[in-house]
Amino acid sequence: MTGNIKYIIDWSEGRLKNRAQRKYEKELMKDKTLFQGNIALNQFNKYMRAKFDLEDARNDPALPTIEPYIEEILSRYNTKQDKYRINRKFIEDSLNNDGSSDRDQKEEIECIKQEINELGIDHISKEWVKEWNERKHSDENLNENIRKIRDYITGSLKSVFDSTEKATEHKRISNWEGIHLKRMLVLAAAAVIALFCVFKVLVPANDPEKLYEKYYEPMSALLPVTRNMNASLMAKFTEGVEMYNKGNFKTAAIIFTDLIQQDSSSTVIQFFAGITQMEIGDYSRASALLSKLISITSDYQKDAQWYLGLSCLHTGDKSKAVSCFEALSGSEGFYQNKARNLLRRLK
Amino acid sequence: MKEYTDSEIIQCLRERQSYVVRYLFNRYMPMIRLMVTQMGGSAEDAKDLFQDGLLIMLAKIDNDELVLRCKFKTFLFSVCKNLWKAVLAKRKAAENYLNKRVDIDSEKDFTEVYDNNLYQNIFEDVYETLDPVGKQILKLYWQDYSPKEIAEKLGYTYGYVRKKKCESQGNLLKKLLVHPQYKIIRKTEKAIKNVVYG
Repeated sequence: MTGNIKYIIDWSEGRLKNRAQRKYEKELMKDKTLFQGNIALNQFNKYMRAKFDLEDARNDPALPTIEPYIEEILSRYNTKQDKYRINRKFIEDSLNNDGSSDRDQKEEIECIKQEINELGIDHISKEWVKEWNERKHSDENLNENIRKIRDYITGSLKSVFDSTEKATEHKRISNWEGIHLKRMLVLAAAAVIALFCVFKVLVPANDPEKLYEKYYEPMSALLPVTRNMNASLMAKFTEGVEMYNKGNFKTAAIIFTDLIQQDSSSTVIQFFAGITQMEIGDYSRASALLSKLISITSDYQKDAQWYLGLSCLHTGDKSKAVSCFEALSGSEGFYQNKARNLLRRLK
Repeated sequence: MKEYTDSEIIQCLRERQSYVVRYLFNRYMPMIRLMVTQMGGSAEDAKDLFQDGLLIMLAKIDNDELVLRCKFKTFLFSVCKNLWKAVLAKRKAAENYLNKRVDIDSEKDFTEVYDNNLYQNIFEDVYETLDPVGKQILKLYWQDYSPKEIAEKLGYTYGYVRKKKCESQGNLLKKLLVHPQYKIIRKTEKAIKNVVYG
């Protein structure tokens, strides 16, 4: 069992290489103790994470200050409003498509297979089928019974079969029309590709300045949590963020510059100062500020990498821009796809 | 480091990126479920509540009205907690209106409640048997700190933190699997399956 435990921990930590990982996943099916150990570890981790999340939320000093705001929001919550119906569909579709539901189904299938192995159901069902086949040939009354049972099942499922048939017929017709349409589309696509190639040759697509203009947007700045700031700094910082949000970038820049002098260690102040400098056109200063943040683990590390990359595009420092976007494209998150798209254009 | 920062979550929700909804569900649903079950609800109640909570936050994000003066997790917790209190108040009012003593507890699957409580007690028991350093490291791990951040926070080396974390998880798992109540609950679940299959 000790060996199994180490194996389970190594797998959950991602220490197993690809082949070993696949071997583990196959062994999960056959080895009951491994399977149970795996489930136990997942249950444990899930519970403890939930427990500490709950403690964290309950003990958050900001909680009493947001409660009145939340009560006010809930007093106006009306499920019948259109906006809630549309958003509810988005949430339900997100949770039903791919991702966790597939994972849940796979887990369920694994559990069922495990049960079949444990309880020898495969053997039992083979016996049943064998018995059934023998009786079919020897028992005349059975055939009559089989017919009645079959009629019952077919009748119950008739409405399902009808709609499936209609869908199949529709698909058959659509397929023929589709083939004809496909031919036309292939010709059109060939023409488009030819035009595209000409365009690509004549117009360089990797112009950094053009990419900067395409991808840069001011940040939708929310007032971030800043527990380490004293009250007067916090008030000034709030004012700076509000100025940024209103587009009053020069005033915001003055405020953030002043704040950096008072607290040079605050990553959030440096980040906002950096992006504000981009807005007023001082890209060198922006890059200097944001560069300090990309190697510090903070809530703004990825945002800093993104904006630093864009700032470097503007100043012509292509290699630095590429390294920022490469880092982002390799890590899951909001910027991953954007960074990948940008890199394709840059390289 | 956690996968998405709070500002990323807000931006992704604003842009209706489905993967962030799945991330939020996987990451925070256990917390909401624990809160609801502690306050007398079921896992199904928790799932509905989670969706309602997210709905409300989406509406606020769309209108640029969301002022996040705390962590996203705290905000979500507070919205769901207040929603649940409203649900409990409605159920109580319905019970009074009908002038019947509707035993809310009897409507729940008591086995689910019993099993949840039993598992929680077992997990807490086993966690308490760990040494203080192991507990500290695992607590921070469950709070989404990376090994590097844990090492910086506690003043240990990165290598020590990784080794200690694996060792502590291994100890937990070993103790869990031999915990007398855990063995009983697993045997009971197996016995039920055997009865079903004959």
